[in-house]
Amino acid sequence: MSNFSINVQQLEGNISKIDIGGYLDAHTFDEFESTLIDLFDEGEYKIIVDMSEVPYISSAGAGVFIWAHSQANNNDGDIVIMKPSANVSEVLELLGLDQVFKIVSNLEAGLKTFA
Amino acid sequence: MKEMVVPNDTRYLNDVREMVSSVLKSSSLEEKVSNMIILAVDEAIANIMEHATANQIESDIKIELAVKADDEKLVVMIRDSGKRFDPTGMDEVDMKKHLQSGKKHGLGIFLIRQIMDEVIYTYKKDCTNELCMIKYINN
Repeated sequence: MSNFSINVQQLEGNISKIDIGGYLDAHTFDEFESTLIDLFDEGEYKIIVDMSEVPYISSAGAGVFIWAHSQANNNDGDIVIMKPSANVSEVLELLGLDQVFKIVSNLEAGLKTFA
Repeated sequence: MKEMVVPNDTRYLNDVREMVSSVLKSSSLEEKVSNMIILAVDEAIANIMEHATANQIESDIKIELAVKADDEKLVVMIRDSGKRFDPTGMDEVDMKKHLQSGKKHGLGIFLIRQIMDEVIYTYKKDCTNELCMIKYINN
């Protein structure tokens, strides 16, 4: 059984960084969703999601990104995807999400998207 | 051919992926294609877990998975005793509208259609949903 972890860091400029570790699938997506709901409830809509430790994403996980993107954009924020693995990038491309999300290779580039 | 009975609980999706992966390792499919097939099977089983339980006790649902590969094709057969549900009967997803609406669900069948060459649903008289998904290896 794979482990799944989520950590949230508050950065300067009202930006939050979520580090996800593990498989983001129909079993784990609700933990990611709950984390985002908590941030939205606190008025945090500028979010960088570090995906470097996520080897796999299914539609359940991608669906949370789509929902969160809509929520963030409606509140002058954004969801930025950082360092997706090759496998995750393939899925994002298959869904056309690579054309919708800002995808960055490091934190500095992620922060610049909110500058 | 490999077969397994999948408990109706999303925590077992990891076992499903590992089983499909073990069959694919002996095929000539490239890793990228294999990864997408693993995703398609995950999506199909997760769909059953989401839709199969109306008016039934969750633990009563039986999900059976069989995966077979030869030189020409990979065949995935999934049978479940849950509520009648035809994923192939769902409307085509308009991704642009889907993204605009911010909907969380409904992308599983979109991915399955993108990845697999054939997706065939049959409802058996003994109240069994049967989903056959085929990927041609030289396609």
